[in-house]
Amino acid sequence: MSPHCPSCRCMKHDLSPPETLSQQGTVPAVKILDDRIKCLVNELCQLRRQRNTLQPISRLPPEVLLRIFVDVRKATERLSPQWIKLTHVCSFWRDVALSSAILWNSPDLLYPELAEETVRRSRGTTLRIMHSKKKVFNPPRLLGISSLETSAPITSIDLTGVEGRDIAILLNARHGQLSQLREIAVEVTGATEAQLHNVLTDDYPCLQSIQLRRCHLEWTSALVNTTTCLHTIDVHSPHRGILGRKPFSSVLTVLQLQTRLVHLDLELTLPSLRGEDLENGSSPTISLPKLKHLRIHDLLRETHHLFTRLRLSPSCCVTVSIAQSEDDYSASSPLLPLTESVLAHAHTFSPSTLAMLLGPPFMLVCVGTPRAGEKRPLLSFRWPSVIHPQSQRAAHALLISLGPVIGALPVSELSITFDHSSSRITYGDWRQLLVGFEGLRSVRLETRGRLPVHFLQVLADYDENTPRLLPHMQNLVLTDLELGKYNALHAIQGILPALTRRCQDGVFRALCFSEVPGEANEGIRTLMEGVAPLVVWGGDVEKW
Amino acid sequence: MVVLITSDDERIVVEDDIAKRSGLIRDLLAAPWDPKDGDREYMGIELPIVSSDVLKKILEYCEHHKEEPFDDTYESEDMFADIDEWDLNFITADPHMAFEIVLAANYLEIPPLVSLGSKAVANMMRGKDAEEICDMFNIEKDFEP
Repeated sequence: MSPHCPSCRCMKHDLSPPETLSQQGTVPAVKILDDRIKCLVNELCQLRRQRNTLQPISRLPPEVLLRIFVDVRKATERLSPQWIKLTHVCSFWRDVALSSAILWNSPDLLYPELAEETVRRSRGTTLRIMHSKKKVFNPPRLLGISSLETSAPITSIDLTGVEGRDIAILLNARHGQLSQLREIAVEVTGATEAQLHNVLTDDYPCLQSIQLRRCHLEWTSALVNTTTCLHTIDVHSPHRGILGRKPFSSVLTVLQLQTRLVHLDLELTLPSLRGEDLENGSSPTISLPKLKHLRIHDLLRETHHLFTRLRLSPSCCVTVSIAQSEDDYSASSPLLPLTESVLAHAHTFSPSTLAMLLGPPFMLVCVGTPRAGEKRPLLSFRWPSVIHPQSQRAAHALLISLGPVIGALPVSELSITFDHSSSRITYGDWRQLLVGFEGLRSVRLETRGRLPVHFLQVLADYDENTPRLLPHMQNLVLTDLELGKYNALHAIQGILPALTRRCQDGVFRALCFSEVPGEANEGIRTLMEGVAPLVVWGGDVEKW
Repeated sequence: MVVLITSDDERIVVEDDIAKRSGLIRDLLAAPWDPKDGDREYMGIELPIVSSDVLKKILEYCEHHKEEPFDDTYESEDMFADIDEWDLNFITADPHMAFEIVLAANYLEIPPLVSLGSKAVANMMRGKDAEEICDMFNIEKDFEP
């Protein structure tokens, strides 16, 4: 075998220039050197390829690598087309990616040139059309993507940052390719609901998922008033706007048809209740046995009217929140019945954690099964802060009356998040609220720098006549106390007596802080050591 | 019971139901066995590309899911959105092990575990550019555009 390279005839690995170079003139010499460089680069690539095959990642078979690529794409494509850089890693990855048409089925219209190439690489696979960011949508440029002309049917449309009329242009231009449309997700800009409504009255026989953001959904439209089995209806309106004209019963009619729904998310999209709706006590119940995720955010009466008609599976994650008004706390409002209905759903599964978010008015009750990777809230409860004193009293009275209802839930952990409104919760409020929470073993206080003085005092105050609250509490976790601040030591000294008292009850085991005191506040550590049988500082607190 | 023999020659005894979460083992157990080849349980099943460490992790997963039907769908926009918390902790505890688990699960034909492991590996890659991925997996760019 010749030791010479076949392309430039140099000795392989010999980096010294051939003797003949200087005798051939500049142009031929450069040509010879270019050839040699090319040869060496090729050889370098071959060596790197061999080296790569010895690395563990190269043991992955192409089908698994492709699955990983698809996962990376799914997780990032709405943010940027950066996932395409996977094809720049090495030749094996590039070959796998370019030979897999399924990886190229999501052209992003935000990048027309890239979309053109993407559609070409999709080689006849059904397409998911995307416009990923809130940026100017350009229908003429989209329609100029020539490879779309001959592409396969479009199964999914996912457009963000578009106007209703642009969707009309797109859908009309591609109408022949929409017979297999399964998913439509649109987030519009501008007030173009009317045009959008006209476009979306089309009947798509394969449709499974409708997601409309900043859009008004017409509950009487063919888009939803269909016997096609939808698995997702997800509609967020920017405001309730024109919805008052439609009868509430149209929502119930649609949901009665959709017994296979898995995901239902409605925000400010329910028609206003009218007299006849309220008088008709025999409104149908709606069974949604496959529903896994329910979220409703709307006015109190509309939310209550819908929620109390739904029959859900115990495994369904439920979030109900109220677009709150002062009237919600009047004696005749359905706030308490709605709250009890939602909490009743919590009895049908076994959340281990109760989270109380003491925040601004917005969320009334949130009950849910855990999402992967999220430990809380499984069930959360917000302390309403309404402005009018009378309403505020009514709101506090309501929540205190809910104490026994919440306390009866099968929860062993309580998580409370404090914020600016926490100071409104008085010593008396805490005592009344916590009296039913007997089963709790662990309490976590997300303090955001606000020391829960009243809460701790309530826990520490007990004697022959006053029962000890949270009698089974074993762990107390205090997060974000801002122990580095100059006055933290003074503040800690303020709650020390309560903590010390509580830690002497024989049940309490661990006191945990999410931070480690800085050098300037090392005295805090000295103060706390010995208060509880076990004191944990810093990152280890997460496991508590 | 089934005896599984790992690449480092450890013999691990496993209940049939758990071992059969693996399509490969299920097929091997269903295949006819000639008694002249010896006692089946004693001979065991050799898994030449699965180390004992990795196999024990995989068996831990199979044990946890032994009551569930097989399912190869983890379709979700958010990569870890629909994954059970136990699975999430299982697969993210050790990134290197996640990679080995994908390889072994693919060999053993356990689709949901392949899917879970793929997501974990994909999560390690997201947001990184080509050079960072090369560094992470100790590979080099081996082609010229």
